[in-house]
Amino acid sequence: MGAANVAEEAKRLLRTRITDPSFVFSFFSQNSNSNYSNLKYIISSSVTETCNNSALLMGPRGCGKIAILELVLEELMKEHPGMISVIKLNGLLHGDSKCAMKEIARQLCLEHELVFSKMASYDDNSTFLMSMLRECGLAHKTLVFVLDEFDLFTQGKQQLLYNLLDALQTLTSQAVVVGVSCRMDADQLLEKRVASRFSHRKLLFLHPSSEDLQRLTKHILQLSTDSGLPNDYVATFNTRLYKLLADEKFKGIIDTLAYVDATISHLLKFLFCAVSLLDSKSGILSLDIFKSALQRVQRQPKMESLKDCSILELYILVCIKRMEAKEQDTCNFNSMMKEYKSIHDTFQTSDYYARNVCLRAFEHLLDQHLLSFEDGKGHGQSTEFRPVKLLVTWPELHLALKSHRSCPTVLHKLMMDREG
Amino acid sequence: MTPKRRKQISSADDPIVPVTPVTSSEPSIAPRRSTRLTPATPQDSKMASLHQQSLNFYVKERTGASNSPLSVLKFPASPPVTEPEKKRRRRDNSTASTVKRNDKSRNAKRKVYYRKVVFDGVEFSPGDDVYVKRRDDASSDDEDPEYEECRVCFKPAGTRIMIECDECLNGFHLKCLKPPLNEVPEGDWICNYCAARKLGKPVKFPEPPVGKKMSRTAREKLLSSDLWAARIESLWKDVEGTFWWRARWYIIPEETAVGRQPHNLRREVYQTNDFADLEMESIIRHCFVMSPTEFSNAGNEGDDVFFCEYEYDVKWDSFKRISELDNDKDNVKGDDSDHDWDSCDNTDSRSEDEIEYDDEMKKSPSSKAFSSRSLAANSRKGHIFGLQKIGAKKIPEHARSRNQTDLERAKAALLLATLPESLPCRDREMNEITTFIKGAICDEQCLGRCLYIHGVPGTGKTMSVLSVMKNLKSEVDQGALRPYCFVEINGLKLPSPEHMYSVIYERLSGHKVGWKKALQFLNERFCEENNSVKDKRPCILLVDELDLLVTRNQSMLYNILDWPTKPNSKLVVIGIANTMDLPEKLLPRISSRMGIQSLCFGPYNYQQLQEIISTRLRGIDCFEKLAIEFASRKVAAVSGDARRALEICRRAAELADYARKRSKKDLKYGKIIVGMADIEAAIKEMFQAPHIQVIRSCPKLSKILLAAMVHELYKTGLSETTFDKLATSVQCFCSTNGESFPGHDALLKVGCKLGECRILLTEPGERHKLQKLQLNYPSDDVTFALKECKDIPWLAKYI
Repeated sequence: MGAANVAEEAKRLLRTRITDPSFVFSFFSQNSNSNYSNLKYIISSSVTETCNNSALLMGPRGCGKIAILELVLEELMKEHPGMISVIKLNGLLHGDSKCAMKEIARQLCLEHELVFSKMASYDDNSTFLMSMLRECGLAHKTLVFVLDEFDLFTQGKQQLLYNLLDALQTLTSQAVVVGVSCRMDADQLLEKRVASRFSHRKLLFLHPSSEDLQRLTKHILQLSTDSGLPNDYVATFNTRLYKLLADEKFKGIIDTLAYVDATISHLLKFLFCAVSLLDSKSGILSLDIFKSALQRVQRQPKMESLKDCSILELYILVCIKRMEAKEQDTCNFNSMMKEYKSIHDTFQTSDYYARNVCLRAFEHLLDQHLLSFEDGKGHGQSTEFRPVKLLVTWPELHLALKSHRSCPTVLHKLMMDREG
Repeated sequence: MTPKRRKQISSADDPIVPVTPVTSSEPSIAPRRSTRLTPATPQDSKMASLHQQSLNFYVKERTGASNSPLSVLKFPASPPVTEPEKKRRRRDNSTASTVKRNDKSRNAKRKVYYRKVVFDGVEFSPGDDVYVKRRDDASSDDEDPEYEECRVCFKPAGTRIMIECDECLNGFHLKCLKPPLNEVPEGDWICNYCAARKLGKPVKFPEPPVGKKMSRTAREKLLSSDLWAARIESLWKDVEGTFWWRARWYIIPEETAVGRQPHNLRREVYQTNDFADLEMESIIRHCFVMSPTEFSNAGNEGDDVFFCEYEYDVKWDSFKRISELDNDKDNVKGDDSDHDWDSCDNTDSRSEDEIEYDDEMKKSPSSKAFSSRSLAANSRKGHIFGLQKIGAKKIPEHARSRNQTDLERAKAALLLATLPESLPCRDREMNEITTFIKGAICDEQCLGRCLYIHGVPGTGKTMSVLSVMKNLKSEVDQGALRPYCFVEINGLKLPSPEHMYSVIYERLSGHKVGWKKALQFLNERFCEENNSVKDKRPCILLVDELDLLVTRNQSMLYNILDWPTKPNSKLVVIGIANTMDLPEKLLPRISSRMGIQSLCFGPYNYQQLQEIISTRLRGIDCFEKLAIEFASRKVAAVSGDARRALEICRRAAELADYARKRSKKDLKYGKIIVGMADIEAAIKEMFQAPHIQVIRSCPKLSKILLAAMVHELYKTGLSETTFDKLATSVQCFCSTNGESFPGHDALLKVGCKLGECRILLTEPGERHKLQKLQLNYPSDDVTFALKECKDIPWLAKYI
């Protein structure tokens, strides 16, 4: 196997790992007091002790709520083959109770190899659900309802939640309702009678600490000897990795990453970027790789689109900024043109463009969301007359002017003018 | 909890009288029968193969039997030729004492169904369990010792006490044991032989004395599949005057697809969904198949007692628990008056049809089978077809473990689903409901009877009404009260408020129609002066979550509450809702019809909650008294919701159990007591809002942003701020304290993420600079969370 081949192979392996949540989160399953073992205890006690339960997983996006849940379910299904069936609903898709009930029936039928009819009414589907709950309970089978985006199920009369949670109050059923939500106030959204039926078991998923991030990085990147790669390559790769992990600069990179966004999904994105940058000749990690990966991950879209603006567009932006600074109540294309003309008159700039050219540039800015129409006013008017607002902050605009390749000095001056 | 049985056959005149139609009644020990003398238990491997064979035979034969019973049932040896004459006469006598049932099924012309048949002096009625002769075993069923002998001295029990080994089910005189026992020991008992076998020693049971062959009891024969057991589903006489019965087979674990599982009890049998029509001659005598609770309570029923917890599906080879609630219902129905019997009969015959239909399906070529498959399970018609499929292929071990720990029992008792035997603390309200309903029913002209029950969730409103109805039902059964019909609907379980009419009509009449039609019928029933409705019973309508039925023009409620005022309606309405002021919110014409009778279920106070919890935990000693009090005081202070209190205790028990399992110590000696710490942890989980923890674990930039929000709030006094202003102050914070400022775009993203978690309320991020932000929690919370932040100590000076 050539060196390049080995590196490609290693890259492929690492990428598979990063994109496989069950590998990434198995890191958390080792810890005994983690959400993983808590959740596993709750669900498995329902499986083995024939009881109903409900739980709510809360935490910011990207902290692995669903991933951990999937891991737990997978594990339990291995332990109790054929005894658990999972029904997954998503608030974005099934927020309406009729649609949700149909989806539940569909998934139940699929799971138990029954025939599903699309024509069945809500009533039929809910009786079906109730009898399924009963039958499954009698056969010692556990139904796990996963309600992703739990908060969206709380809109309206909360019929679905009421029905599900009320069904859990019968002795024959054996089911777990797991809600997943990123809203911290998800349990407050429940109606009183629904809240009373909900068990209020809450599992909180927090941002991992920076030590955890470090260890997770190691867990993901470390190659093991049984991975099918040549041993000497694995050894060099790992020593290099350990050296990097001990390096203060590397820690600095991880900290910068976590400064803005410390979620696991963000870290994974970063690592994926880094692995993709891996040199296919040597196949060894280096600090530079991580540095450039960091830059790729932390992009500033507004800033970049400002940098790509033409001179005329910059003129327009500065004009609007000046008018906003003067606190003129409305600003539209026509008033902007007036300002532009006055600037041209005072400074006798070389680049003065015709009105229709300016309109094109103005529309381009609107498309880029650097400008936007003020809402609520002047619908139905043509572009020239609708009031607009700047969508970039002044410091940003200033910064962009400074770093622009060919920004005329006049603009700098104009920009500084009012800021004083 | 192990269901076990001590046999204490004290004397010869034991109540079980074995009556087979043909055998002589005294237990003869037949010396000629020697083919199957070996005890059934020790040689499992040989038996298993034998059982497998017999299973095949058995299934085939039974399906045949259900189609053409006459062709299959030949009893070569047993009935002497002279007997039938006598028997027929006896049967004719028995008809007089039976109760005729109307049957609307298509068999009605041919068959006459009976509730009770006296056959050879023994009464049989549907629901009884009996031994059934097996055809291939005809030679051996002519002797049937019904008393078991001591396995050591081979003498029947006599006056001495015998004990049964839990392993091999052999009986022993207490005195014959070595060492002899004086009394029956508590708990499981295993005889010396089995104990020795378990240790791997060769065991030799005592040889029977010369000239005396060992005989097997019916129980032994059944458990070694030489006999069958079945439940009598129905009894009838066909046109020729022969008596038939429909058998529902029981099956022993060896005959199932998975074979005997390690957790099976020795006396366990499974109920099957396999039926057959047999002649009365096939019945040997009664046996007793019991549900787990009956079995654990049974003491002295003799040897023919079996344990049945599961139903076995012969088609799918799967197991299913038999729901005990159903059995109760059956019993109630069985004891009911003639009228109720009728209704039950209808369902019976329907299911019968269904089964026959099923059988036809099996035989007929694939075209028909296909049509049955195409019936969707979630449509109304499909329910019967699909759901039998669901069943466990194997009964899981954990479901059968009977040595629950105290904690597990406590958890089970605290489940919301567990129905307590008594409802403490609601006596006054229940009395009031009872008097209301009784007054309404007993009154000839029950005009305008409405009761409005209100109270916060979890105060036992529905439960109280249902338990009152249960009590009344038993009074009706005793004949102390006029029969009535009870309809229960739940506002939130209806697809739309209008569906209420069709649901009510369906419950009353059993027909399903659209809601407009149903409304028309209901109006006819309740409003018309001299209506022709046969059903003159008063009707009690329980409407749960009444407030959900309030529509724009409130016509639903108007109708429900208007019917009782009609002279011939005989309708009583009980409405349940959470809000106290529902009548005030309604239109005046409705609230006036609602009347003044309302009942308030106040929130429980802490003593009541404490009582509720401790009644549930009676007999289970694993909660500290103080801990219960703490939980109930906490809940009483917040909501007075009993569900919440129970959940807290259950969660606390769970936490304690979890801690025990994690420590992995063998705690058989030390008992686990759920203490204050567990309750406190449970309460914390339940009531504490998680936002403080989340804020503490946030990335640094989010913390700075939140601090800037608080700062902005104090500076301007306005709760709302724009991203523009916020960004300026964040940038200012960063530059003065030597932190890097990652740019406006990153900041915007951070703000939006906080908005997703609802720590901030934000406008969509596309508004960028103009985006408005607002704290969703009190600024004090944020300050508290950020005060002692280790990563960014300088934050404290801004907040």
